[in-house]
Amino acid sequence: MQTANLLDDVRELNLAYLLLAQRMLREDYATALYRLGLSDENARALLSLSPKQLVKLGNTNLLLCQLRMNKQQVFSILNDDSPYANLQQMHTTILLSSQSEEGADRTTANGVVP
Amino acid sequence: MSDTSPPPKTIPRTKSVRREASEIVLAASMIELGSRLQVLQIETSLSRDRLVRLYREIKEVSPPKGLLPFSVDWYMTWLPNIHSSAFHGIHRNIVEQTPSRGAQALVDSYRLYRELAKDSSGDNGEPVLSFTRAWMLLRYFDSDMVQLSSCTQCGGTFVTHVHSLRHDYVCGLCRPPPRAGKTLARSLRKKGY
Repeated sequence: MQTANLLDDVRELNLAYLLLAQRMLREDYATALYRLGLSDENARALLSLSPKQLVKLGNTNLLLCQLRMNKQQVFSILNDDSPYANLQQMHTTILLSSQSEEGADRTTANGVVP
Repeated sequence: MSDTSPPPKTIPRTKSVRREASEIVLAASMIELGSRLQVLQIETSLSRDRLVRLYREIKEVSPPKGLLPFSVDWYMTWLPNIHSSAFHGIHRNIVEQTPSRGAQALVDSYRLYRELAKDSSGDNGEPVLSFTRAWMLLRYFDSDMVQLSSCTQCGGTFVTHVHSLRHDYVCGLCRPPPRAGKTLARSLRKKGY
């Protein structure tokens, strides 16, 4: 019974996520790519889907949106005891923007970003 | 601005009306974000006359005269460094992950930065990093006057002086200077936070 409820929630969240992503991409493509953390290719594919296809795509037992931060980043953000909530937001942005570069293998061994 | 030579214009001068229209739209959004006239002159191919008129129409005042702020050191002070690093991170992401380029990328990333900086603005209600300063920062990167360093504690990427030591760099958020944030706290208190 519990699992069935959970799965319903997952499907609902998937659909909500897909619809929101499409709306954001239609409104301002570049900004939406940044906010969603999607690749250009995936975003274009998502934009081309009809509502019926979105429902089909979301109808799975897997959650389609994932946590963007890695373990070290979560730790750094939680460890930031700056009294200003806003600076923590800045820190999160800085950490997340550094992450995609690591993904693209731009940082070298001694921590230098070329 | 005397110390850096202007880069080649990204948009060639042309008589195309469509191009001019899109440049006016771009210039208008730059003016709304607080751009100085000098920035508009470099980033668009519109004439100075038209830019001044556009500026007056949008801001309802004449564009301010005088030199642009030109201190590289400003970006290294505590709070500006955090804001500049956040802005530059957004801009890197925008350029790497989206089709947005040049002045449009600057406008997109500055809008995202402003969203983030909305409630930490100083006394005058303006974000710490102004649009013109954000543009200058990108120019300093282009002319290799600043570089990026990774914080050895949090792993974030921050703006630092070129040639500064990078192997043991710790950012201003992981190791704030003793009086960091005192001015900010005072101005926030005044605003009732």
